[in-house]
Amino acid sequence: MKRSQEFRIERRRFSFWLAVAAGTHLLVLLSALAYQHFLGSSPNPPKIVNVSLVSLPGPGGASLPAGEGEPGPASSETVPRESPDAAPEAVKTVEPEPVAVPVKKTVSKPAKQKIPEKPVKEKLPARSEPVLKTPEKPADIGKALEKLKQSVDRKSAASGPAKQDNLGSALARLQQKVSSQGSGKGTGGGGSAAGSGTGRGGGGKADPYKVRIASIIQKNWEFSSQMLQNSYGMEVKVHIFILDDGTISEITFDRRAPSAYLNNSVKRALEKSSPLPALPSDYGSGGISIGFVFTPEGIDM
Amino acid sequence: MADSQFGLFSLVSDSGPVVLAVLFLLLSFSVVSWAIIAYKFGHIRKSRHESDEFLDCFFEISNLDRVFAESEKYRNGSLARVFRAGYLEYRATGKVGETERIRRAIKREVNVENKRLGRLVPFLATVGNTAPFIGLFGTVWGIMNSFHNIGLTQSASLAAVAPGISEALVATAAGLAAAIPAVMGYNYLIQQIGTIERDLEDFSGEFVSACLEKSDTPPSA
Repeated sequence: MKRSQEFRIERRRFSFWLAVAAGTHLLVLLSALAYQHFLGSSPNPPKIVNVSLVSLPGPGGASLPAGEGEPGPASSETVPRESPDAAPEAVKTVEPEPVAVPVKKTVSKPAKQKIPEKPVKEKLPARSEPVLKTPEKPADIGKALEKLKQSVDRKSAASGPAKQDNLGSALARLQQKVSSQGSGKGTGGGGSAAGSGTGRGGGGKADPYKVRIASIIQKNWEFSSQMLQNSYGMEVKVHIFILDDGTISEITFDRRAPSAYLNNSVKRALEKSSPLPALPSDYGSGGISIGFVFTPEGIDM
Repeated sequence: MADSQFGLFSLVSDSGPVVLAVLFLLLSFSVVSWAIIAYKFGHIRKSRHESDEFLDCFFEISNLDRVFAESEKYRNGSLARVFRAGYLEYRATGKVGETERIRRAIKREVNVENKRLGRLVPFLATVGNTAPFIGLFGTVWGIMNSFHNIGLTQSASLAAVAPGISEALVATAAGLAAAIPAVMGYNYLIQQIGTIERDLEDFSGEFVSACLEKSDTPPSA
């Protein structure tokens, strides 16, 4: 009798501690949740860097086809970026050459400018003494500088045409793209060195209804190119048949991508987009068939 | 929860049913473990404290009747409980040569006390041993699923692989979080219980010899 009473008391005590432990766990979880919320609302979100790679053809690429229309807006952006970079890049590549005399490089410019001033001449050896004994021969610095200049000139002269070739081939590719998209009148003012190019063109005869539905499908397309291991051959060609009321009645895959993820995402996007806006009266009745090309870069018509 | 994409809760919410079941099991293990640790810690601490006080009282007072009266104050003390059981047996027999019965009664009470002290403690050992494996099971299951999904997406990029694995690893973390306190609590409690058990063994000998001394004169009443 006494033992059973004791047992009951012990059980009650244990139940109390069980409730306390459960409450504590709940509290810990809630505090973790609050901490997470606090972290989420903190003003320092983790940095996300998106890197979009621009692939330029190599030096052996196709050269610029002359007189095939003027470059559009894309060219006006690329040209000013390339031209100012060309000179510093050439210098950068040459920089590692004077490795043997690293101090000379830092001392050289001020030395050259301040040679006529006597007090500077006195200061210079004092500065460079602990590092190198070379300041004893200022004439050598001049020679080294001249050599450097010559080598830089030579290299920039050699790489200049190659760079222009790269640029030219990129422009040619862009032009081909623009011309293949339609008969758009490329009236872009070519990019100047200062980057003040303004361009217009490359639009082609875009149907406003098609553009509209393409933008709707694009919005509904949930796809991340990061999920693909490589984007080679990732292209889905689809034909959809749109009824008068805008309903997509048929989705035909003309060409599927190797990735099931891309194919499914396209299918889901099209299904999600239905019904589309009703067909304009220009198309008549009976519906139309429109083809789209889905690539990791976006939707083409 | 929705604010942080990589938070603990977003990881848990994205997990599959098996991983969720594992996490729930581990959570319940953790709750019960902490309850046992807290309950037994208080219980054993009180028992040791009262036993020490009773032992002082036992050696100070030579009269067993007075010691018995004092032992009423220490109802949670293991030594006091053993003494009470032995004294009651001693009073019941009251004859010379009946020490064997007293010894047996004391031994019985010592066993009961050991059982009482050690109750629920093995659960801590079970949690300490099994929780990491249960967590590992959840992780393996989660990784299996994530690899399956990777196969479906046909992509093995870090962006596709990492979220699934990090979700799965939550189960291992939960298993360790449940196991570590359980093992620590188990070791501490076992050490404390061992000390009390040794005290009980020493005391039972002392008590029997005290009874033998008193047995020359028959107990009053």
